[in-house]
Amino acid sequence: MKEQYGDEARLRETIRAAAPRRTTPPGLEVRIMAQVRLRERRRRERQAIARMAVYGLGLSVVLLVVLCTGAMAIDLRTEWPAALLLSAGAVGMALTAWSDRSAEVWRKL
Amino acid sequence: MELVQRVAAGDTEAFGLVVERYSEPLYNLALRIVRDPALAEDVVQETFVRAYEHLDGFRGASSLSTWLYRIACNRALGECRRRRGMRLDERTKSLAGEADAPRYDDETVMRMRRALERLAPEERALVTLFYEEERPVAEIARIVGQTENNVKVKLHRIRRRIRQHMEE
Repeated sequence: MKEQYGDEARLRETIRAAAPRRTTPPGLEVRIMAQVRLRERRRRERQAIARMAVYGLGLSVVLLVVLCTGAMAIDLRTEWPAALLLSAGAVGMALTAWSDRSAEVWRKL
Repeated sequence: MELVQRVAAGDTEAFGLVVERYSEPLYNLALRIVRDPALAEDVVQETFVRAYEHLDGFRGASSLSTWLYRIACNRALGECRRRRGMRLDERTKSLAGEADAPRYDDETVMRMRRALERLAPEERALVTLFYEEERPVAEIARIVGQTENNVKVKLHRIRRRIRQHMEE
């Protein structure tokens, strides 16, 4: 028996004979790809949310600058109705721009 | 590397090619280590998912297959460590029951199977990588995270143990 397994090649053959290869179980690759696609989807959603947040932050900064500049340029005690109207308009435009951009980002997912 | 770049860019279809190419060898490696078909499936699934999530960390220092084998080997050995002490059930004992070994008698095959079953999970991993996958020692060392000398010494010990078990 010692001589039988002293030969490395024979040992290899015997090991292979004792441990036959199996094919991948049916459906395993499908399950793997389903998991992978789910993770890819989640990764893109996270990126989209981050892009929307950055865009919203940028818009907010611009809006703030516009409103502050406007407030410094006019007399709020006498012209407050006009100031209010313009502010509402600026905020509305910013919100519209943000939601349009968000819809575009989400549509591309 | 082109395939890796495509996958890193979010091309899941490219990753499908990777899965198709490596699912069977990784399944067989996991099966040899954990000796449970259902658990081997879980190991392979987790291996590919983890590989997909960490592909940006793959620098190309080793081949993609070496990297995948390393993940699978680590996961399978981790499962074995978690299940250490649990008795093998009949399903895992009969794992290789459907062998087709025309050149060897049943007695030889059964002796070898029993010898392989008595090996530790880490040893079964080395046997699979060296004798079944025919990987070079250098690559096996990268897969299992040890030096080449360590791997050679362990393979030598494993051969000796297998021969001892076969002669019992």
